[in-house]
Amino acid sequence: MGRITPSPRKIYEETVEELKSRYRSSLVDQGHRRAFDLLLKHAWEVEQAAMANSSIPTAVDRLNLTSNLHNRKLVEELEKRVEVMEKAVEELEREVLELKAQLQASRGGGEDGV
Amino acid sequence: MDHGGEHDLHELEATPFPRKCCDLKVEPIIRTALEEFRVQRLRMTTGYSDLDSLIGGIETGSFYLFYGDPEALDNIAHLLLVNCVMPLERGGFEAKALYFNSTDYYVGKTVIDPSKLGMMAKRAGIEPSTVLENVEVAAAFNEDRQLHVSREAAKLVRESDGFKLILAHNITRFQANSRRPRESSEVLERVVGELWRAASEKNVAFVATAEAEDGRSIVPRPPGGIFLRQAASIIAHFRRFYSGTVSSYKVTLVKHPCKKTPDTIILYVGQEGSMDLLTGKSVPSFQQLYSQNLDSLRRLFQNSLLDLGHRSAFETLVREAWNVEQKALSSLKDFTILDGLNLTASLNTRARIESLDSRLSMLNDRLKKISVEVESVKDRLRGRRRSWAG
Repeated sequence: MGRITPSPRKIYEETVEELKSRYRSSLVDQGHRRAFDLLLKHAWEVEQAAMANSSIPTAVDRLNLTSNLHNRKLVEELEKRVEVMEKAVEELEREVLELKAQLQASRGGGEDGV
Repeated sequence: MDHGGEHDLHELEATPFPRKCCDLKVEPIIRTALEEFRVQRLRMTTGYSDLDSLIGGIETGSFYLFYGDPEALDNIAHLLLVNCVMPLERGGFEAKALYFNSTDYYVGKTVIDPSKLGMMAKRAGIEPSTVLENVEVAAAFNEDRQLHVSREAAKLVRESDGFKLILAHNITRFQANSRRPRESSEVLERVVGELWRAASEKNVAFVATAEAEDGRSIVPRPPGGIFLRQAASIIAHFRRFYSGTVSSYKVTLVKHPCKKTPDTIILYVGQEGSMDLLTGKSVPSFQQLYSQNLDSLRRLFQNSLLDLGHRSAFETLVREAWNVEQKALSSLKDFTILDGLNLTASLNTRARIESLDSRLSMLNDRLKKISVEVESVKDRLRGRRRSWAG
């Protein structure tokens, strides 16, 4: 009796090929197509070993979980960047307030001096 | 192409078929003990340990008849197909299965339910596409077609060594309410004869399912007349019953060559699966399943991730998405735990993106406000310079 359960690597390749040829090409939004390529390049190709090593039976589930982790990682990075930006904006607001206060003070001083 | 509809029953009557169940056996009656010993009998699990202990699993070269509640039979049929493809070390046959459904064209033109099969494959821990690739399917929508398909199926099984299971679902569908009971019964004999003979020759397990005939008794007589009752070596009846809000199945062993009958077990319906998947007595709670899944993912998946960002993202998802939404996860009935985890992770990420979006638009507003204020400060400074210059 021959082996009828293909290796995880083969299943991965077949699934990705199937998704590329049928799913990706049917996506209406071009952004979604780009996102598919990015996931393939930065998440699935990179984490193939982890996917193969997992006990998750289906290839699509493995891809989904890895995509979720990758997206989550990117969101966290973006959150950090937004946090930095928020701090910078806060600093700017504080500086503007200080400038306004200085201006007010100097105008007040000038008026007093007249 | 030859279609079943083109056959005429009278024309088919000319072909010899086994009239008695003893005619079905094509193996030599007498053979040496060594030959008997060398016939490799494989045994497959039904997926439920209690049911295995009742009927002794599914053995190649045996004929099983399951009848009773249609939903239970539907689930059992799909699960047996999955188990047949499963590797030997996990209790399967690691072989191909032939699924032959007799279905009423007017009620539902269903050959097989691939979604249910895929879901069961996932729960059994096997790639659904592997199962779908290794299950040959055929459907009959009338008696003529049933006979034609049974011949084709028998031919396929004889020509290939890969099959270990023939599953004839709803085999008495057309005979139950037939206007010509005698002729219908003959067709059934031929259909069963074709399939059982091929199964017997190739040492393949043959499982037939049939709806129970109407009757007031708790365990009605097996359908299909005396022929089917005699041909099947193991017969079991499935009956659904409710205990409060929980539904379960009572399985009664009606016929068995080695066991005392009747014998009964109860199969409890699992917490997961509105498809009423039978999960046996030891139904793990959601909490147990959740913990097992997370442990397995941590051990085998998370530790193998190359990108450290992905590893920490896993922990964040556990903490902020999955642990928080356990109640919602437990309410998902038709999905596996992993489906729930993926869905919740997607929702959590989407929620984060929404929050990021609103934070960014707030930042944008603040920057606009800053630029307006900077402009106003600049204007004031310009005005002052002008007044100083004047």
